Amino acid sequence: MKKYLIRRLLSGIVVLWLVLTLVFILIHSVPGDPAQIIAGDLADAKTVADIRTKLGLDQPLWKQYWDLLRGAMTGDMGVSFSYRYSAFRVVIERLPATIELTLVGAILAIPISIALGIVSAVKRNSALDHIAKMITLFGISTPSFWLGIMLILIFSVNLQLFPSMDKSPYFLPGAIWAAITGKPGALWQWARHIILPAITLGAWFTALIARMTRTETLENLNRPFTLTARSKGVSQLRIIWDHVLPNSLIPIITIAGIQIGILLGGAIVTESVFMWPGMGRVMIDAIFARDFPIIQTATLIFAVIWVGINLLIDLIYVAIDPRIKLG
Amino acid sequence: MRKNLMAQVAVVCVLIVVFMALMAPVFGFDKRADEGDLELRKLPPFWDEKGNLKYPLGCDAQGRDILSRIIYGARTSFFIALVAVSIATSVGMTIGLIAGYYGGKIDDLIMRVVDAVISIPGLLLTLVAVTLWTPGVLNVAIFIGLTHWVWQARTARSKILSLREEPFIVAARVSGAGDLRIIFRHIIPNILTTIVVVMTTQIGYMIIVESSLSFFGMTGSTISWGWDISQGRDYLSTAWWITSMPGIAILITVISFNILGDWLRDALDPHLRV
Repeated sequence: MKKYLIRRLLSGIVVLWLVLTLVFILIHSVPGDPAQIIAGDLADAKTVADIRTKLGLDQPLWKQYWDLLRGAMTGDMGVSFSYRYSAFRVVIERLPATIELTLVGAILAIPISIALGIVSAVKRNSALDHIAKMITLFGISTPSFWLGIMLILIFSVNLQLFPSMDKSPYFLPGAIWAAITGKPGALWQWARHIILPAITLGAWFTALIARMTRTETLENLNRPFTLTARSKGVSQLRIIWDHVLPNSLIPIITIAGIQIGILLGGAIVTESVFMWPGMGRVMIDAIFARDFPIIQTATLIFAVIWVGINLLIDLIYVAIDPRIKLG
Repeated sequence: MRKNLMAQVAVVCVLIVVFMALMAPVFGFDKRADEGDLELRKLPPFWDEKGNLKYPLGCDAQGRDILSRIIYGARTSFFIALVAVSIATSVGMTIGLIAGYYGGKIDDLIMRVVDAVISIPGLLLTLVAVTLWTPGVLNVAIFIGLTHWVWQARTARSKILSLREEPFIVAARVSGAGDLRIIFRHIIPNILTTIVVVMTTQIGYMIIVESSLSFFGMTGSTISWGWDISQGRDYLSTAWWITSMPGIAILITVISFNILGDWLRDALDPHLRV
């Protein structure tokens, strides 16, 4: 177990190193001078030279590469141009808002999608199955920025139920605490701000997992162990809960873990539609402002989250499937 | 196909959109899409009392016919999606073939690179690349392709891993066929159907990626579905149709490709049900 963990951590570090290298190559393979691109076409020579020094672009390539790797290890990724302080701090400060949004999105998505997938598989080819299939088809085919705007149109503009932008000043624990200590509105305020962005973010994920759950469940419903259980007189509900679901979960979790990247990418779009003050919006702003230190840092943090979640998933395997032994 | 009504409808939809994209200039939609009439600003769709059948889906904030813009905008989406899918497929298949065929250390290394690529949100990588290079429809298409090949690579690799041990491959090797001959004559024909299924579904996904980039104004094109959606956002409370109509166009197109992909998968390659 210990050996496995060390090996996985090492391969995670290799992935992070590759991500940094990829971004480095991307930035330095641009035709022309990155400093000029950042400064814009109208900038004079001195501004361009200043930016070049500030970014270390006047250093030899290997030195820049080494600085990037060293910075990644120490958290010193340079100073953001637009915020004028450590890019690492800028991104980390916005990280909680993104994590909260992604978690709420995922927590809404997972139970709904698994229920949808199971019902769809058990009642195969029934009207219920067709409805579920239509829902998931819409889910994977709707661009999330447009879904967000449509939700704003319906729930903010027409029904005036939920706000169309911004986050409540509280995070969930803070909102609960405020509600307990005499501000009963805090929890509702938290919920009405997060509901539309969370649905927007989770819709695609819900559809994807529902489709996978349906396929996996169908497969396991035809396996010999299901037949055995059925011939022993085990009830349908028990068969699904005790036999089919645990066997379906492994591939579902694997795909879910790999697609977390897409969920995080969706956060970029969702956050800018709803003006959510998270990492994704900082990233978009940074891209428009060509704020390289922030772009590099945010990319790295996205990758760290992905590697972390996938490591966690490997550990979850051991918990839910005794057949898997790590090593 | 004869039994599958959904797939039939999807084929018809795809054909209509392709026809729209190809023929738009012939019927003068390119001009209609650009010409604004201030009198017609925010004209509602035809079913509204104030609507006009000459502009069935209404007009945008500059008084341009929304239907013409959707028809002409199909070109941008299709061009980018097709180029991107072709690039993604060439890159992904090559990488997947090498990893699966040679195995061992090469496979390990390639799969780590694949991990690195999926661990960065594809949209983000494309956004960064597009900002650095001059935006332009072709550049965007190339970048989307270069950042979205993982699916093909993984599919090709897993297919080859199982094919590699098949008797006919072993027989080819024993009879002295070289690696290239085995790959091109025996392996590629056997994974082609699977790749076609992946490509069909991916066209839909690429259209979503393209429209997201256009939405942020990153493609440099001002005539595309994503751009029109972003332009209509400011008028949500007064003219909902400006933003809604191009989105419905995306939705119908992407759904059609997804249905088509599902149907192709069931028909050609039942093993691939993921």
